[in-house]
Amino acid sequence: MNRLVTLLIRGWSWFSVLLFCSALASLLWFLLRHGVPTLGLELFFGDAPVGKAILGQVRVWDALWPACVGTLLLVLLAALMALPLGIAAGIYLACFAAPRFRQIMSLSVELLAGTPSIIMGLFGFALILFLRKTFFPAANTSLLLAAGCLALLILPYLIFTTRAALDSLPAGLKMIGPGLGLSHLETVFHILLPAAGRGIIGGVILALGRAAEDTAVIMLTGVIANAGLPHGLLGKFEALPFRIYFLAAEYQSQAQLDSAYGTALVLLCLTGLLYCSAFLLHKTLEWRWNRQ
Amino acid sequence: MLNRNSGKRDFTAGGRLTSPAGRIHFPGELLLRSAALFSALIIFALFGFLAYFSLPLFIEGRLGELFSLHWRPFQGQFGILPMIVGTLLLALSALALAYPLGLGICLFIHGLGPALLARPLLLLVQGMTGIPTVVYGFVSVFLLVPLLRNLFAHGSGFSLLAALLTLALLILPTIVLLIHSQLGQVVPALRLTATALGIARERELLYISLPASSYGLLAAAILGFGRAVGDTLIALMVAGNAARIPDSAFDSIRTLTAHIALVVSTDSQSTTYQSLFAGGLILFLTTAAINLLLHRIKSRACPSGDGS
Amino acid sequence: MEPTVTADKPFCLIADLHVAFHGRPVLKAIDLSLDSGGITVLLGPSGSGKTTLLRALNRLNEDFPGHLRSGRIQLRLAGELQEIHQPEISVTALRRQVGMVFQTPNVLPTSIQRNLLLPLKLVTDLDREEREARIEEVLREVHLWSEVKERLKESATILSGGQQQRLCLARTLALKPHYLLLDEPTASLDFKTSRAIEDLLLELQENYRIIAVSHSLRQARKIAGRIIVMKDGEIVHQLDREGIACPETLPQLLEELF
Repeated sequence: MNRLVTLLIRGWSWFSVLLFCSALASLLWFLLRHGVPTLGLELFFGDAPVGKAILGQVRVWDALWPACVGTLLLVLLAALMALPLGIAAGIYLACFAAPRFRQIMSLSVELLAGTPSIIMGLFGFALILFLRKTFFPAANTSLLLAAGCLALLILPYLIFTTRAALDSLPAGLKMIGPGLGLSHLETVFHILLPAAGRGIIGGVILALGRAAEDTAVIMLTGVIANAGLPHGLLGKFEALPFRIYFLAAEYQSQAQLDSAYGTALVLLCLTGLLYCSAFLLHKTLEWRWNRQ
Repeated sequence: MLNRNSGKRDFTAGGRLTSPAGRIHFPGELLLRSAALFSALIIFALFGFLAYFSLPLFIEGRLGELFSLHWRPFQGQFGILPMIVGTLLLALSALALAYPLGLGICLFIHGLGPALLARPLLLLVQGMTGIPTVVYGFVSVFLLVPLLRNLFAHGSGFSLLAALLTLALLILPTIVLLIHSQLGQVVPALRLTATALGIARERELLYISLPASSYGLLAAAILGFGRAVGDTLIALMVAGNAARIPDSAFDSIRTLTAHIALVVSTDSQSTTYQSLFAGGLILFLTTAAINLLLHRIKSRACPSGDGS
Repeated sequence: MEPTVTADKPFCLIADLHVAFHGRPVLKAIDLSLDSGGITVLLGPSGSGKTTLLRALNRLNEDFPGHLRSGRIQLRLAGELQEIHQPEISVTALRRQVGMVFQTPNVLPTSIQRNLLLPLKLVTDLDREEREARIEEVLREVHLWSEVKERLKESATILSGGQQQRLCLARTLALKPHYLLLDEPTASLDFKTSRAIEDLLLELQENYRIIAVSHSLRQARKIAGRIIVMKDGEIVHQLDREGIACPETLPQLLEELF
């Protein structure tokens, strides 16, 4: 009986790992096999001349370039809104908030972190409906709105990583300031924040990755399939993840399908790159503390 | 000098109460505090908007309409019950698949597999969290769906089954990493004792380490479920999106999240929106409840911290 | 700099000091008067409140959650005995005069030079040259100058444990404190390095009023001019030089305690 249980557990554990690995391997293999042959300038710019396309003088059809620009702008705008807010809130929670306050705020931010991204999109959509009814009858979904909703999505991550980076500093380091008679403010800004800097940057990079890959939010807030380069903050736009979704559902030709494979590979590389750099930052950080 | 004044003493009486040093006020603190307050208030703004837009349904007592089985917007029927059922079915079945697998992987990492493989496997699981959801969905559409279609020769392949398989893979890292972090705290302390007592590793994990990390086991299930409920893209891309209650795993389903995405992108008239926002509100309240539960479990597991 | 160590006048008076954290009393009715006569060493089993007593002197306890205090602490600051909790004395100004060094060396993960420069920049209004002179002065004071003068720009984390602890000491001394509070300064160091730090402290007692927490009887005997023995948040014994010198008293006392 005991032997059987032992055997079953061990067998199940090996089975799980093998199943998981083969699923992951087939996913990556499939993507690489179909995606790699499509890589090339044509994937990004189609028939358009590269130089002119980059400068925006020529409209690029059936290619990645507008979606790349759209995603880049989207992530930058979202970061611009969420970074100051998230890092400031994280610093406040870690270093200044009274315990009770900290507890309540953390719970509230935790709830925000657990909210599905489609709800953020729906919120943005509701905002437009509201504006149409009240102040701006012409309000419509746009790059700015999408970036704002994405900012809401990544805000809790930024707050938590900032807070965690500060909280997890060694106790000895936290005592340097008070021991030397520095004010709390000096301690926070001259000792704790520089020391936590890498951890915070790691969190920022992860948040950027989240913003770049999310599809549900932008679907409801202004992304469309053939917008071309974004026309200003209040215009519609294209984005990499949405392009993948759209082509998967509505591809018309083999060429479009190939382009979809390429897009998926490009997005995977982009988020993979962001993820790896955040991971490496984290590792060097751990190493630095452990060496002390 | 000795024991001159023992026993309890009222600390407020002898001297003034000290306030904690370091709570110094400075101009920038207001800025930081407002940033934190603003972030904390967003959740209420989300709730407010969703409630405001679905309010007419509640006021006019048309809840029965909402919880009907029929979604026929052009005939004025806006039932979202099939979507609620679809969401629950998909999330529960994905969890039922991913959870035992996740547990198996954790046991592998913590001693049932070769020690040499544990670390690379963990790295692989961590790396998986960096794969965009839409990529999972995309590969599923072109790899898994045709496979299921050929294998079972039943419909188009866009089905509950396809969605749950993909979704299980998506929530697997969440489950593995949470259980792993708990086991990682428990196992090192217990293993030496257990080994010294001559307890086999399988039995040690099953009867000692896993029960000792019950918090992690529970939290992983809840968090995995929350992730599954909140996911939009997988369901939208591979579940088929038919707004009805499925008869079998080969049937198409539509989740609440996919429903919201579909209806908004097809731009219907305003009466549809009320039902849509009500669906959003239900989704929001569900995930909020899940996270509150998670928070409670966490603060019970580590009462000294503030539960995050 | 005023002459810091003057004979026979008390430099520290504690009256009826109670400290509690989260309602749990840690120090109970402490009365203490310290005058000159070498390093004061606080000795006692762990949990006896010696570190809390030390931290009461630079009000560092207030930085820990759930702290409650009653009672008076007077220190000789600028030549006069002053109540350290009076509103006119700012915590930061107090802590600059009452320097503290911790159990584990806590250097900043930056260069050796920046470790010393940062507090000087923030706290004093010295100009560049004065700061550099001050850095050399304190590094010489802790006998670190010859070892690090060639590599001031290198990371402080590559120094050995003993060097790091001396750097921490130098960082505190750079602000010209009158008092030095040492919380088991050699606890994380090996025997030989501990010896070197102890010799250093014996030199420094000429210029600073030193109060140290120690876990080692040998160490206390070597450096102390006065030993305060604590148990369960109370002072149970005080030994002056003669008491320390007497070969029986101390071991007997400790046997009762531990």
